[in-house]
Amino acid sequence: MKRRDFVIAAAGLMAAPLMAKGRADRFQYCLLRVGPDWNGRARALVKLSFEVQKRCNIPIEPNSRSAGLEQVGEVDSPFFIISGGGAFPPPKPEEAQLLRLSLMSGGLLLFDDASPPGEDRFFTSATAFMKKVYPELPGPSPLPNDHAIYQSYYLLKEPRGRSNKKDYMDGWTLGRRTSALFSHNDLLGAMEADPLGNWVNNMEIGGGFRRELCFRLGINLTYYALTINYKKDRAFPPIIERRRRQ
Amino acid sequence: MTAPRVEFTPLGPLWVELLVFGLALAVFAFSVYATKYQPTSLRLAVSGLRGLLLLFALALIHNPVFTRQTIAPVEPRLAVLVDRSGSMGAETDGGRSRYEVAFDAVRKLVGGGENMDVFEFDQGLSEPLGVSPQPRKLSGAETDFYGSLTQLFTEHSEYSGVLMLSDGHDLGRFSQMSLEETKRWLERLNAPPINTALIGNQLQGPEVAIHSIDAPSFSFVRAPLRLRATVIVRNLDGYNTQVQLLEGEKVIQVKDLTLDEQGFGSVEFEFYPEETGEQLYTIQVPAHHLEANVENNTQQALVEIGRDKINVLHIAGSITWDLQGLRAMFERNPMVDLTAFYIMRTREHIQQGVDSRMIPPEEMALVPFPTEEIFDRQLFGFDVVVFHDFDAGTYVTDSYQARRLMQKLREYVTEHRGGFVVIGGPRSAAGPSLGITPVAGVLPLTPPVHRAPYDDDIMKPNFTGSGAMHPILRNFDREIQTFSGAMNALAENKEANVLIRDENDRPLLATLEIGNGRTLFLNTSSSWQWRRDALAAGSTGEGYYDFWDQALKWMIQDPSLNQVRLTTVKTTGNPLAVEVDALLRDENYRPARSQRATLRLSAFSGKVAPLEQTVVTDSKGSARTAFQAEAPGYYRVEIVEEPWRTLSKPVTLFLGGSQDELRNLDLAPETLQRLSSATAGKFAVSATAFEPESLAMGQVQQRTIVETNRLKLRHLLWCLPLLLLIVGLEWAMRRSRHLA
Repeated sequence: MKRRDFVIAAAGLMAAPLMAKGRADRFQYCLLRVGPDWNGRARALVKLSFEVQKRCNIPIEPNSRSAGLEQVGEVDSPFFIISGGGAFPPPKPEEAQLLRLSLMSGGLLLFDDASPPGEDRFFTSATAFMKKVYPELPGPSPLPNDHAIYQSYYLLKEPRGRSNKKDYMDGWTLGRRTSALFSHNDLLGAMEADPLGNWVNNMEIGGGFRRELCFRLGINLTYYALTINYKKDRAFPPIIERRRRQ
Repeated sequence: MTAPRVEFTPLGPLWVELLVFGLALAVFAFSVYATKYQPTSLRLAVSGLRGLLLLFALALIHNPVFTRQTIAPVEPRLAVLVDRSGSMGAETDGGRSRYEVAFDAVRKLVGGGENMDVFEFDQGLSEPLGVSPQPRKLSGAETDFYGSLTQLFTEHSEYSGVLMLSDGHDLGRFSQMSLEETKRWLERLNAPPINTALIGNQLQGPEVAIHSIDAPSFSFVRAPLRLRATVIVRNLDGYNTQVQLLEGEKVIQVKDLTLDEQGFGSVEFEFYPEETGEQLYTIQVPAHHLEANVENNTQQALVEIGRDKINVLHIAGSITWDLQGLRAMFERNPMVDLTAFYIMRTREHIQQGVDSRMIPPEEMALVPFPTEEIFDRQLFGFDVVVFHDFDAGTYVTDSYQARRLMQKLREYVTEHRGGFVVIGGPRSAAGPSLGITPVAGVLPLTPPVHRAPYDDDIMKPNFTGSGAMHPILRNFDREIQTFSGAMNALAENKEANVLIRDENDRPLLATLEIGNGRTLFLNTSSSWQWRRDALAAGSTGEGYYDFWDQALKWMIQDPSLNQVRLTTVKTTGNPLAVEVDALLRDENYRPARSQRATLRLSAFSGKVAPLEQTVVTDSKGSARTAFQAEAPGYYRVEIVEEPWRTLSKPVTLFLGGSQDELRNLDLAPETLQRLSSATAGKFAVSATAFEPESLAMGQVQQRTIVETNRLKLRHLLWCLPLLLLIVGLEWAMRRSRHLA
């Protein structure tokens, strides 16, 4: 082996944990390296992946991966998450184009707002960010309570999170499919646990069951990314409606 | 010659006439008044002359004309109407058609030198046939008594009698009219007596016949199609029988027949056609052993079966991005009516929350996999079934039930034209294999009976010989559409057509035509990446959609993807003619250039000799020819030689004007009797029963004006001197009495 090849191979090995690319046929969450505190809730995705593996028929990688906006096209499992609490820059045109292609070919982007009440710089940045990706869309709009994300696996009434800022999620919807969502309530913050399984953050209101509802929402978002409006097929609404009334 | 008469031309409307007359009267009255001091004799004479002068002037301004006409009476003339509708092509006892029998009678009448014109009619009236009428080829048009007779009496008023030769079949408005309506209609047309002669053999004795079929001309594939048949039984008391429905030569359904007191009974068949295109259905009732005529025991109906949707059953064994891609593709295609069932959890998945509480099913949006509902009740309603990384054995708990349901799936493919797609993936590689189920026999690639290793490598596809031109792969980009992951150790069915292999000769995509259905095995669950990779490479990403759209079309046996395609074009101007376009491609879809092939047009009745045309294909494998059928009826167009015969699907079509006309060939004397009785005509059950002198004829209403002489009075030379003479007399009389 030439010295140059050796150096390249060694660099690749060193970078492998960072890239953490899973099997192509498996689901894997992907944190986008956007904003200063993009990695603040990384442990939450480990816990969510574990819960998905335990409860759902989704072949899933136990660890999430991360990617820069310029790497979006290489991600095999396009469930992207932008997490943070402050302002972040909009994408460059070529990055916006890459992300647009990925979302148009089936991907999903989740913004998770970890900012305290009264702080909306993350939301403003997300709106500006998406304006670059989907310039034709006017902006986010609140998702109705009968949206497929509230019934894709568990029956949910409203979105939960560590905080309690809004009782709805915003979404960017093209046609019948919502390809980007905004969670106002620090969803990942409620799921974050240390390696020993201890919850990192206290819930603003409530306790265990409210945290469980956050996981259910996370699982529903995962199912929505993979099955789109399956639960809106004609066989399901009567059954779901009946169960909701019980 | 008539007596001469004077005709006046009015000056204008009535009020003008009255005004002028009043004015003249006033002038006369004044002139009489002006002579009141004269002796009476003079008054009378002067007033008389003045009155005469006024009358003369009044007459002249009305342009009086003397008319004298020479008129000759019209000879009684007969209109002979020969029915040339489709039902007149039916054979009589002597083996000749009703139409030919009718023409024999016409020739006999014309030979007698009678004063008559011969017409033909079906939906309308023809021009007179001339002095020596000859029978022509029947086009199979339907009969319309109302339209034809209305046309005759509107365009011709010179006939004092009509002789109509027909089998009594009518499909127009006349059949729906009551006797009173018929009389009013004929009176309005001032119809002369209509003599009618029934053409054809009227049978006596026991009779079982299909009276009519109520069938739509169009229906949808795998949607309920209803055919209703009305059967009439005569002179067979208490007769019970069954009615059969056949598609081609295969009996689809049998129904018991219940008769009412009048001997009528009806049965309704409901079934789900599984093939698109023109389908010929035959309804037949078994002949009674005493029956003399068995031709009317069978009737046929041609129904065009179209497609509005492709009913797809999508079953997925695990939730993956590939599932999402395929579902998005189905949702995008407006032709697809999707029924999906995805296994979202199994018994291995524990529903315990992070609060340590077990999650009850009521808090979930899941329903149990409806195995029996889908496979037992609804399976044959789908056009395509997709097993997407689905290890069926896991979800069919009972081995007997599993075997039965998988056997039904096999039957769906081989006998019900079903399309079955299997998408292999890690789940199907790891689970109980489809290879141990009855379905294995209909798959192009069969998974092994043990766990098959799943290879995660990226494989570059290579087209096989049969894949290079296959319509499924028409826009397949081998550089972009790679395979990420595939099952190993798949066994190839001997009849399978492998379209794509990897560099190690492993099959990645294969198809199989088995029974009358089709199956496809895609050995990867990564096809969703084709669109993403294409978009990233700067192309439109349509290759992914095109692959699946074409695959669906191929699975449902869309005629546009057949290797050999026959297309027929009929023209309304010549209903017995048909143009046939043939596209010949070999089994690998390569155009058959400069290929000689024989096309055959054969009648279902078997009574007409088949016609054959030899064609030579061009560089695209296309050829065109035309046929002219001898008689109306149901025909089949097919290719004679192999392998084109096997690769093609014969085309069924109806040539002629009206199917309804040919369905029931029974005589209908009632319609002819009604026409005759409404016009004081005569009815006979034989064409030769009428002699010219025995026909009922009406009074001649019309006469011919041979010559008309007109003389305008004011143009006469002596008119002015006469006027001057009267004026002069009146003047002389006044002057002799010294009047002003």
